[in-house]
Amino acid sequence: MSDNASGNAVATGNGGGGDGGDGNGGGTTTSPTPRDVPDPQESVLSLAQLIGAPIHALVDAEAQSAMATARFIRSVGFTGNGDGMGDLGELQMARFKRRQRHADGREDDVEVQIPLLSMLPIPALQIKDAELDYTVKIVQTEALPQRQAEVNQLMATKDPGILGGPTGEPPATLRATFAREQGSNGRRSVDMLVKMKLRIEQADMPGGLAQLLALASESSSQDVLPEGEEEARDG
Amino acid sequence: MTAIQPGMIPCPSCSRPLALPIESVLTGRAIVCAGCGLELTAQREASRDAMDALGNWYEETASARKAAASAQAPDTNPPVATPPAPKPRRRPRR
Ligand SMILES: [Zn+2]
Repeated sequence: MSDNASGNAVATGNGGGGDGGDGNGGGTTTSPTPRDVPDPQESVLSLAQLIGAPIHALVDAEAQSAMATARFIRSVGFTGNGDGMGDLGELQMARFKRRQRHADGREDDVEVQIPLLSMLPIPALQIKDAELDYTVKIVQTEALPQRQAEVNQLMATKDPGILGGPTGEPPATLRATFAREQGSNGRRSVDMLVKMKLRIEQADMPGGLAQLLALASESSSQDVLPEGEEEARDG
Repeated sequence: MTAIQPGMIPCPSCSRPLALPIESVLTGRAIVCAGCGLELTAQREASRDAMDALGNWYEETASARKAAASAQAPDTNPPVATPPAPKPRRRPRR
């Protein structure tokens, strides 16, 4: 993602959905009642996993985009095998002919070689903004056993301010599921709520790529063609 | 010679920006510099590999270019709300 990406994850409790479930989101933690037990199809994950999954997908998407750019450069810009990570080969050059007229009226043809890479737009996409809107339903809380000892030790210092609130409650893992969307007719839809809004843009030229292009451009060359080596103009 | 932006090179003669339309390169049509009148013609036979790579790129990106061009074209008609695509009917679940 770009430096100015504003990943905006909003996790909201949904108050238990529209089927009369009691409000157990929004920070209120209650033990699950039978009604709150999620459908078997629903995946109950830790809140961190739930929030992390779409973010992970975004990072993956950017990595794939970067790989696509690399493949493009390999396949179009170089003579080596475009697939795999083998030898790049030489820069792929397109040859042009231009007529050069001298002051004395003499003319000759000059071959100009231009790297393909400098002729084409290099695709490099990046996610500019990603706005993720989750509606999750906290279905379970559980203390983290591995941190319990740590917690007990801290509790022994009698500094309740350190830990989760004035009661000194141990930290908990929140188990949650994406909440079902409330339909306009008051019934719950079957769709899980994860809203994702992305803005994709052509990335600024990364430093390495700019350097590659500069090198490619510098390999443009001009040579006077020997007599008789001119290619018949086709087309 | 430093590339100015993709598809543009400095004219080999007068150094002014010279556009290299891919279509002209692929067809071998002369590309003329507006600054000095220089004619640049792709040597398709002599750079066959490059032309093949360019041709493949051109074919593969044809639909993307078309979409980009239509997205950038100024609207001649006022925007009309397009109805959402019809959803496949589902049988009510019991
Ligand atoms: Zn010129």
